[in-house]
Order: sequence, then C-alpha cells, then structure tokens
Amino acid sequence: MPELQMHEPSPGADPVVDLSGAPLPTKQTLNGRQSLLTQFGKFIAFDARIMRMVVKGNKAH
Amino acid sequence: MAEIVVLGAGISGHTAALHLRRLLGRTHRVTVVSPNSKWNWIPSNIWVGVGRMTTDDVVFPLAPVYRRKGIDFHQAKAVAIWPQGDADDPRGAVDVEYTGPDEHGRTARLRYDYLINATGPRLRFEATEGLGPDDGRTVSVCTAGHATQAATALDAVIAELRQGRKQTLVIGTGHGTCTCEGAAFEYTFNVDHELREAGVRDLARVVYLSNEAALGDFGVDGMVFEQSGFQTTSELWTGSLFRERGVEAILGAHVSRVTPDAIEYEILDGSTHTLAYDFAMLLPPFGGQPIKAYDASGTDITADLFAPSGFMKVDADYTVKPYEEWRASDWPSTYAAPGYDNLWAVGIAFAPPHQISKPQKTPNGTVIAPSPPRTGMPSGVMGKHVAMTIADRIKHGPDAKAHEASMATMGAACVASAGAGLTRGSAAAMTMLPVVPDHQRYPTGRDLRETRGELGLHGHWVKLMLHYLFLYKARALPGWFLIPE
Repeated sequence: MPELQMHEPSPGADPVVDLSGAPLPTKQTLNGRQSLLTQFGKFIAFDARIMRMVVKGNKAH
Repeated sequence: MAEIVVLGAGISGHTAALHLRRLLGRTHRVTVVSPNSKWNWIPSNIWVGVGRMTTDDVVFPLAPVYRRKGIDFHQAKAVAIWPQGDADDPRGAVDVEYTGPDEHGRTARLRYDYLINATGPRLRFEATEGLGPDDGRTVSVCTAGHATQAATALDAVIAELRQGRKQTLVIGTGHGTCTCEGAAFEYTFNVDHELREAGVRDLARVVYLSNEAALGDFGVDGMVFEQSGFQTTSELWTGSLFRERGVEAILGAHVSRVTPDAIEYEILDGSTHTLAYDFAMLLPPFGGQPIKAYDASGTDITADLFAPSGFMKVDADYTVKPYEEWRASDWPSTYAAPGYDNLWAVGIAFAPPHQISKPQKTPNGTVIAPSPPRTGMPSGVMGKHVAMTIADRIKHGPDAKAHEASMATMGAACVASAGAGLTRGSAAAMTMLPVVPDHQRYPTGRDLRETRGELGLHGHWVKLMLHYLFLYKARALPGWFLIPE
C-alpha cells in the first residue's frame, strides 16, 4: 500500500499523488546539498560505495 | 581458432567484445554485429534531451575502435539464429542483414563457435496509438537522435512560456508495461531545472505520468533506506523531491492513446482520464529484437529460444507463480540459453523470469506492470562475465565453469541529475544492492549499508564522472579495463 495516496484535488481534476505527507527539506539541508566541502565528502563516500558494491557483487559468486 | 560473434554493440555487447579481445589472443576471431555505426552512452541522452549536450558528446563511431582492437565489425542486424547449424555446416550460424549505406539490404550467414546475443531493446512505440517521435506525437530520449528532437521541442515550449502562455509538460511512461522509469524521473528534473533557469517555471505545469504503483518504485519494487538512524522509503524520499520542485505525479497509469491535444490514460482503479499537454516525453515499452531461430533442418524453433516478448530465454526459472512466491534465485546467473553451451543473452536481450515490482491489473483487465530494468551497470557486468566464461572455455576446455553475475547479487547505481554545472548542479543519487530484492537474505530485501538515496551536488559530479569514464572505457583507451563495469 503506497504511503502517498492518489487523490483528486478538485472534482474533475486529474488524479494526482497527495504530496502533503512528503517531508520538505530544511534550509540547513538545502545549504548542505550545495556546500562544496560537504558534497566533496559525499562524493568520495558515494564512489567508495560503488566500488564496494562491485567487489561484493563479484564475491557473491 | 574460435569464432565468437557478438550481436549488439550497446553497453553489454561492446563490453563483452572488448573483454573477449583482451582475454583472447589474435588467433581467435571476435566479430561484432550491430545495426548502428556508433556507440551511445545512453544515460547522458538525458542531457542531450534538454540541450545541455549534443549528440556528438554522447556517441562515437565504433569502426575505428574495433579496427584498432582487431575486432571484426559488421554494420548489420541479426535476423535469424541457427544454433544447431544447418544442412551445410554443424556449427551455429546467424543470418544478418546489412544496414550501412554501402551494403544496405545485403544478407550473409556468419558461422560461430560462441554467440552472445546483446541486441538491446526494440522500442515498441506502436504499442500505444500516437506514441513516439516518428509516427506519433510525443518525444523520447531513448536514442541520441530522439533526445535531440526532444531538446528542440522543449525549446519551443520554453519560447511559448516566455511569451506568457501557460504550458503543460508531461514526462513519464507511454504504456503500462514500460521500464526505465528512472530515466523519465531524471528527465523530469532536468526539465524542471531548465524551466527555472529560463525564468518560466511559474507558468509551467510539470506532470510525471508513470506506470509505477508508488513513487520511488522505479520498477524495482521501491527501496528502503536507513537515514539518521531511521528506516525510510524511496517513496517518501522521491515524494519529497517532487513536492520541493512542485512536480505533480500521476501513478499506476497506462497510456492508451495520445491525440494531438491530449493523453488518454487509465489508472489502477479502472478510471480513465484525459490530460491536455503541450509537450510530452513518454518512454515506450521495450521488446526483444525480431530474431527468428531454426534447427538444423530449417524448422522454426523461435518459441523454444525466445519468450513471447522477443527476449531470449536463459538459465532463469520461468515457472509461472504468484508474486508472493517470487525468489531472487529465479533470476539467471550465467545467461546461457537452455540446451546450448555456446549461446548466451545479456543486457536487455535476456528474458527476465518475472517483474520485480508487483504487477497489477485494473478492474477493466488492463495490465499495469513496470518491467524490470536491466541496463547500465548490470548489463556491463553480464557482458564481461560471459566474455570470461567463453575465454575460459577456449583456454581450458568446454567444461570450464561458467562465471556468474546474477542481478540478485549485484548492485546498481542510478544517478538522476537535476541541473548542470560543477557548482550549481544537483542530483538524486541512488545505490542498491542487490538489484533484485532478496527477502530471504535481507529483511528489507536489500543490504541497507549499500542501498542509499542522497540528494545534492555530489550526485551531479558522480554523473559527470561516469559520463567521461565510460566514454573513455568504451573507446578502449589505455587502461580501459581497469574501470569497473
């Protein structure tokens, strides 16, 4: 069962997902997404995770 | 000398051919058959589709690479496979029809000792009336050429918006059985970004119209993430992104027809609707290439070798069973065609045993079932592993164990860029391990340490890095094989 349900915002309107239950980012989160320092760290971590997945995928066999 | 033929030069086939050439001496012949003269890094077609890149940035000609590497190249499409040989020769054979300008229409029969089918998808725009850029009314980003057309259409819509005329842009899937929802998701956010850059976002209505039953499903049954000590879902994560960007989402939709003014669709509750549009990028459903198969006597055995969808049957468990009984072990690991030890299908060409997301039907009987994605990273890994199997069998004999690469054990990354520029870009970056959830092994179906969803500038850097790395790798430049699939 989806957490975000479809609804008709008004009679006859297109049925769309009611997104009011989806969390919005805080200002701090938005700033963090653009912070070069924070993002560089995440970039390294993401690349490391991809490499780890490659190794795990190979080891599984 | 062994003859190895690879059908298709996409991510899977090209990877297999390069590794075969690396692993085998020049005494063995590696032949690639592809109707396209160019290789395309398809993930970057999204950027072509919004005018941020040109076709030349995402494609390169295959012939010079194959000439340099000592790989024979036939610009042709496969039309028939003779896996048991024919009356003249017991070796397997494949019939091809040339598509290049010099030999267009010429046919030939190529003999093989080993055959890899990596033919990629047939874009089935005809499945929905009015779908597609050629005979329909929608654009696509499935090929670099399609993406260029999409960018032109998007420019026209932005010009209208600049004149103060409101526009509705619809992006998503054009049929209930489509796959690659991630590509539609990514294109949505690139379009949103372009509209903001043009200063016209407030006049545009952007609608994501998808066959997914829930946001964040992506045809892989959604994901569970662990963030800040809590478990959350890809649905909420995706919903947050949609809400933040003001994108409307219509889910569980099967598009039945596209007219010049409106998209007609049915949703899971069986209700039908009409959505007026000014711009529509709707992906088509995929099918296998129309390749026939014959036994040595010329009897048609296509139904033995291929599923009704046109994809080739491999070492999967194709037993029909309900969703609740689906298991990770149903998925293939060697990609060998049953009954043949010298024939494989990899990438999109293999027939999946079933969907990954739960298939659904509307009360009217319309099937709305996202097909499993099997592109990118998994496709390259499959191609490499089959190449290693063939190399081992040539070097060590036919009993050499097959290398395995199941989608139920390998991971994948999906980076949906949403913007451009090294300091102003952004992206939704996801990783999952495994691609096919394994509920027997992991409570949430996947390894929570590796299954993550993140938003930010770093995802955009990852996407750019992958663009340049994989083009470098595909050009087989020095050290290419050190870049993992």
